[in-house]
Amino acid sequence: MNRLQFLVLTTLLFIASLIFTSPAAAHGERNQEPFLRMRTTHWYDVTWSADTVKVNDEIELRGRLYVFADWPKHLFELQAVYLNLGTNGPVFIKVATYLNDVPMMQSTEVEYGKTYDFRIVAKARTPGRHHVHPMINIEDAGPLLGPGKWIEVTGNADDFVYPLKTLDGITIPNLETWQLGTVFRVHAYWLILAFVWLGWWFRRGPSLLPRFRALITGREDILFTKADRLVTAALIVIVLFSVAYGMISTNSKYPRTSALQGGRVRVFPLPDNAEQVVVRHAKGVYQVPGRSLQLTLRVTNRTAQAVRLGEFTAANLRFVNQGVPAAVAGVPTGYPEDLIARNGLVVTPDEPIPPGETREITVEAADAAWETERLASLMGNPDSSYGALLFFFDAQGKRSVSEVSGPAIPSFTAL
Amino acid sequence: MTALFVPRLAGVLFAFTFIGLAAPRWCSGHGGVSMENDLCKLRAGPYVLHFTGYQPQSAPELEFCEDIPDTGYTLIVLDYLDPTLRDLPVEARIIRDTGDESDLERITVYHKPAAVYPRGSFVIEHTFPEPGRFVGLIKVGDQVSRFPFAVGTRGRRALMLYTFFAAAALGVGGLLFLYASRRA
Repeated sequence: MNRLQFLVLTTLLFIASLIFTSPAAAHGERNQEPFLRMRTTHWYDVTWSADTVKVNDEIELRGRLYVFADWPKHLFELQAVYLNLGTNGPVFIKVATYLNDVPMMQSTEVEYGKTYDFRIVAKARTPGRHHVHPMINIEDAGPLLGPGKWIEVTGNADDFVYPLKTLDGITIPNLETWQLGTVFRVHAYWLILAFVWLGWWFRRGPSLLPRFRALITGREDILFTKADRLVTAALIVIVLFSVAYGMISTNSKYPRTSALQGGRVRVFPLPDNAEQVVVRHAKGVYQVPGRSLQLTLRVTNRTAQAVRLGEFTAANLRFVNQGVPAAVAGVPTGYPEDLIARNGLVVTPDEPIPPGETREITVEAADAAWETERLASLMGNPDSSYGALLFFFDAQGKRSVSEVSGPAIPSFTAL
Repeated sequence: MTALFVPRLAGVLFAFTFIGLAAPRWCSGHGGVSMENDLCKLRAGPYVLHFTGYQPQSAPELEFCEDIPDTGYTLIVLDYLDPTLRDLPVEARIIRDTGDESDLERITVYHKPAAVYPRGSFVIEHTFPEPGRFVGLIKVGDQVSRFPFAVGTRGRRALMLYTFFAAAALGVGGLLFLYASRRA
């Protein structure tokens, strides 16, 4: 095959790979391993301030972030984290993020078994229907997504502006396009210089083999001519002058700058609740055909009031006990329906657990979502322990949040 | 044949293989059930359900799509990918593939009457005593999905796999032998 045929063939293959790609949709988080989604970060009380916004409008995501105590440490320890916004590309601009009211421009460290309030402010940039999640990036591991909601952005993409005023009074009319001309010019200048330099060395045609032959025959002296040395010297002068000029002119135009921050912000978790409901896993079975996770749990009520189990949440799926009014009220209008299990949570016995008592209860969380959200593949993972948060409520609606985790064994018996 | 014939032929075959693999395929050999983007789907009109088959007594680790590997106790679970399905009645029937569907009752081996399943999953449980060819009929609302399938295909599938890889190995070996002969 000659060069032209090879070039034509590779071009055709490249075009074929572009033409025959499938369209991408949302819910890429389903590709993450189930134990990652269940035993790392739990997001709850998540709200989105709007369902529909115009380009340039802001939305706010709020809620709580819980860092699972039974983190899969055998895979990766929790190090630096970065609070972020999970969307399909830059369709929203992240304006501000906070953990417990501490601005999160930089990374931070969070603790196992602790809870944090989060707030994310974002500005709509691209029209369309977008799936918007809170997200946290884990150093050396990757992103962990919270629940996602479809947000409609109306308007015209060309109308997007992002104005800013710096601390020393410089007004930036639109950060999206500010100084783009300068960026292109500087890049073009250095690219041209680079191509001229490369061109100088390759201008005489075949250049690698002749040089190689000169080296192996001990004729290094013919590799560089006087003209080569003159051009090299001129280029060094041009490069040094260009760098100096760029630095001096930029410093004179913008004398007050601060470096990109490489440190970490310190944030303290929310205080632990002195009164807690403690839950211990006793037995876990996943009924494969019925798509049902059945757990036997030992619950110790260390609060001052009798409590009932109101909600079981894992991997952003919510199973709500319809018999607990406070739990039902905890699902706000407009919460993504695909994350709420239709049949809810079945608890046996469902009577309130008095203060100080330890009781064994069985919990059934059944829904096709275990399969459609690709959580049932937990059974085939090397680490097949589930993880979940349990919400207990007393008669006044006061909530206690507990963590539970343990192995779940697949079963095909008793539909 | 020129000396470049074999490498060129290999290059063309490779290109077509690559393009063919890159292109999405819609197989309809099993009617309403097919593998799409690594997910086994059953289509009934506009509705899409996730189809998973199990034979826990003969192959507990295996999930199957379309044909059923062994005879015996079989579970088929249909998970609703569309939330609207949770409010619609779903009915299932398995009939022998006799080619004549004028009297369904006579050829029915399994029937689950229509019911609503708000949990989002519909389960078919049946024991196939012998190998054979069957047709599944799933009615979702007023939409019907028809999917022919075979029972007891495990041995045949293994034979097909062995035959394919043997043919591929022979083909590659033959091409290399021809190329080497030409070079010599």
